Amino acid sequence: MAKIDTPAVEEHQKGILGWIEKTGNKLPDPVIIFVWLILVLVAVSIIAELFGVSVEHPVRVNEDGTPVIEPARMLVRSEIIESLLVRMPTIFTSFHPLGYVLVVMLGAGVAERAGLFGTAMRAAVRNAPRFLLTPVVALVAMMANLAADAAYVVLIPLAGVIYAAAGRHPIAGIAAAFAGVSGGFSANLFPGQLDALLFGITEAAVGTLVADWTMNIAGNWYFIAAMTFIYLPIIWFVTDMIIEKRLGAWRGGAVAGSTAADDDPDAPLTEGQKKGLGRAGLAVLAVMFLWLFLTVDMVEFVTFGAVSVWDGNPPLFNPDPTLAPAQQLVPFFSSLVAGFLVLFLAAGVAYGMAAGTIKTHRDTVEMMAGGMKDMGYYLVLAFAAAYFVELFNQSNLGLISAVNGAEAIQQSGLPLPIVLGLIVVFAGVLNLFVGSASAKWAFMAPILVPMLMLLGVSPEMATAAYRVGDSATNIITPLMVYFPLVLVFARRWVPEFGIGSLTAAMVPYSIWLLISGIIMTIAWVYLGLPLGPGAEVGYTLPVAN
Amino acid sequence: MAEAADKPRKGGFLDGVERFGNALPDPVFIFVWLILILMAVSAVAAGMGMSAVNPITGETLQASSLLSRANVQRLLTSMPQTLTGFTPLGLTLVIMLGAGVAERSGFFSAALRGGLRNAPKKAMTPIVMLLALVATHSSDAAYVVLIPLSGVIYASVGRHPIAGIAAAFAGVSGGFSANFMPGPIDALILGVTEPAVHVLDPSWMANLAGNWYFIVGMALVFFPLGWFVTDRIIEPRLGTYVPTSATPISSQKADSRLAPEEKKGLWWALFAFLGITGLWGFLTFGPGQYLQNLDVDPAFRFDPMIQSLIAYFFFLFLFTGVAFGSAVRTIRSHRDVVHMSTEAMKDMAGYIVLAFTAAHFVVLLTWTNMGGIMAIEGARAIEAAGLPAPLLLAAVVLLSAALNLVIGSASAKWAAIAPILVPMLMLLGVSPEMSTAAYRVGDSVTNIITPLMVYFPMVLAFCRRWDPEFGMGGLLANMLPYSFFFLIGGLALTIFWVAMGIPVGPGAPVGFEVPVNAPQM
Repeated sequence: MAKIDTPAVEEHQKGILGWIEKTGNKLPDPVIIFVWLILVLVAVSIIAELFGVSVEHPVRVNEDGTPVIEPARMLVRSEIIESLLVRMPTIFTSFHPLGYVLVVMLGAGVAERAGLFGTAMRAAVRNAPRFLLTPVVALVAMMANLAADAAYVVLIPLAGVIYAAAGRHPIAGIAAAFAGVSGGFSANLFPGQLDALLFGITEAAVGTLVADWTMNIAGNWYFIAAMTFIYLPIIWFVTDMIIEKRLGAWRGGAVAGSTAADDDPDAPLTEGQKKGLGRAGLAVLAVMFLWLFLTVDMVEFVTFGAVSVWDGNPPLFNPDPTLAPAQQLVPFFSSLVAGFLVLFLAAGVAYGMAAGTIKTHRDTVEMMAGGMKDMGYYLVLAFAAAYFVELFNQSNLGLISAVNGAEAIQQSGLPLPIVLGLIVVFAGVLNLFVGSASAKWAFMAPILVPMLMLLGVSPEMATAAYRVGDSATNIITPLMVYFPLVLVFARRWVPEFGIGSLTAAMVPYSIWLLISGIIMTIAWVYLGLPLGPGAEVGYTLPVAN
Repeated sequence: MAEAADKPRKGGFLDGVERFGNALPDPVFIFVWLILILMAVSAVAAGMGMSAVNPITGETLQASSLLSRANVQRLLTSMPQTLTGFTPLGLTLVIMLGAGVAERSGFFSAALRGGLRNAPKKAMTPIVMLLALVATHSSDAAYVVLIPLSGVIYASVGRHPIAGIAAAFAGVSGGFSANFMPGPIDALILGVTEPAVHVLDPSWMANLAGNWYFIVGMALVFFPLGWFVTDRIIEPRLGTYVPTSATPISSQKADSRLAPEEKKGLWWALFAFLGITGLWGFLTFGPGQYLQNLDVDPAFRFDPMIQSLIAYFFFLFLFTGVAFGSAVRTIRSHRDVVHMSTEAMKDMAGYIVLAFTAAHFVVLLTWTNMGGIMAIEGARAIEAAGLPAPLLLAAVVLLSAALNLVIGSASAKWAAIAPILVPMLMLLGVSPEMSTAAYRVGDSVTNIITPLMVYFPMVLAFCRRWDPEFGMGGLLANMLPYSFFFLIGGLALTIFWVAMGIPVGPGAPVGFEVPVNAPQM
């Protein structure tokens, strides 16, 4: 998005959204919020230790069978100060999401910069039949989250052009694409970098309670896929029945007022780009085949047991027969971060070589470095968040609040599905003020995740509920970084279109997405459907030893 | 030096170096190729049953194929941990989070210019040389600020500006590792040493000050050499500078003065420096003695303090930068600080990509056990050859100086050779710190004569502002004498150091005793 010159948007909103904007702008940068939270945490830890607060650890027991008592520990003590200063680089790099995200981004950076994501979006949307325009735009928009920036910069203006060309109101197209990309932020048919990011934080939070839990990037796969299918008709309905009706008929013609400055988003695909898409498809198949080969002994399968590689014991499969099938696949799930790196890298390079965006290996290295550049701010945030999480764990306050919170919820008699519905609402409201999905989850997860585990809810389900709330309100918060950009795209068609008009267009989406998301979450918990391969709604604490 | 007679041959030789350098792939891909070669070699070695007996534990090291079930699983399931477990990555990112603020707030630039401005004219070369040696800590700032500024200062006192640029370049880059205090480079290089040592001794921890005395020794040797080469060889060769209409003196001269608010900023930064240093003094010697380990041998008592130096430099750079930036208004709110750190992280993007492939190469080499096997076999061979340790380390200096011509990155090169050299030298009784120090001598001296060094084109561009006819050959010819004298001086220093057995740094002797029956392996 850096390439697009966004003119300053000076207007301000009134009413409740105006208040949100003012409050949010007064909040310091999330990095500094973490610094303040650390100071508060230190103060609270001192008070808690002085009052002798403690809980019984729900899992660990002493040798004589009595539960381990975990007291609150004040953070101003010699060994903690020493460890914080001596282990600074380690505390930073052992922050779980850091490695996951950097690795996935090394691949996604190439696929995005080679132009694969942008071309794939254009190819998908351009060929849509007219009456299916809205659902296709919405689906591609939700899928386009895999591409981060490209989704906003390519798809949203493109939707405007395509709608205008079809004689429909271009703002409706822009709204539908924005709702899909941002309101359906977590909805997708495949896990991607966001899954790596959030599950890394979840993993760090689970560590409070259970040491050996490792994240699975596919842990919300079914859930986010279901989100996609539920959000699709909703965006279709809101766009065609509410937004377009309100906007009225479009009389402005098929060309926007001022697109001269940048590339025509509707330019037909070149031969190279078409070839590139084909090559990328082949690369995707090859990588999927490779992973299948590493997980299932296909040679043995095809030759009916006559020949086998890996001695019938493929590397990404745990042959221990006492384990459940999902547990036998744990190495496969753990390898998926590497899998997505290889997938994005192979598809991006295959596309780039055909389309001419990658000429030598130096271009690939430069694109990988570009992907890392996009993570610049995230690295700064991760440094502060890593210290916050580390201190939270050292103080035992996370465990204590989780145990007490779980008891309070049990005593209140609230059914679990409702508790998760409330978490959705809470995340949605918080999202209005703090945009960053990972920063918000880093505040919430250390208490929420262990608390819900004690109530029998899996870390994957807790993460899923958070993501529903984190998505739906993205499109109406004036603090969302892409909001001004979308406004600029809308103004190309209707110069007098203001912040208020855009918010008014997006509020119906937000309300509908939030309501359906809450219903879906509650129903999911109630039915106990698996959230992803090997990820159940329920959770049983491991037996202590 | 017989410049005239040697010129044609040298030009041809240097052209060859340049062509070869351009033909090499990007360092990221060099590691990819190394990994592929390693995979093939490991499969062959494992097939042939290569093995060696570890002299520490008596355990037999068996070559392990990277294509085996266990290693494929390990590679694919622990990729993120392999990246973040790469020691130099965390060290470098943490330091840069702070240094980014000190650099972008203008503090480094002002401090460098403040240090230069009060110099008497005749003392120009020693001062530039000294500052350049010290300024390596500020990484990019040293290149971007000090080198062009030296040209301006030389020109303004009537000396040849390119001599100033050459002196500063030689000090910053040719004396890359020479310094009076350990800094980020020490963290980076010793961070690479650490995983290599773990082949033999898993309990060894990198100590930021592990080369402190040696790099001071290097600085003391390089300082007079650089002075001599600049004033006696380079400047007579360049002759008298005749300004042309295109010279940038006027535009640069104003820049080199410290504005009043910059002076105020430097005072504030000084207070921040004293504050942070005082805090560390308090944490170490104050009532809590937080950064001392009172339970162990007195020689190791200050290990926590030394290990916390990364955190010290992080806070030092951060707070001096914030203090200076607040005074000169380059920092108006906390958002500017976050922005400056973010920009510094963006500068590290290329490094993270390189770290990803380098980390995998290092880890995979460990898994094959071949580093250990080769080190043991290599050590046996050299033991049999009977080379004394000083000459052996001189060979390390020459090897790294030669490799440096084609692989620029100090950490990448060390990552490739440390896993073999460090354990081998440990078995011969040379400490990891001393091996690292010898490597750094070679790695420094040839930086300035390889066109593959990332700053080489930039330095050339600065020279051309003064003399538009100045070409790459001219710069190489000017830098070769520095490189030559630094190499001779560095070799002599290394041999002398090992022969005398002077400690390489606090708690880091030249010698190393292989722990008997270390229980970890």
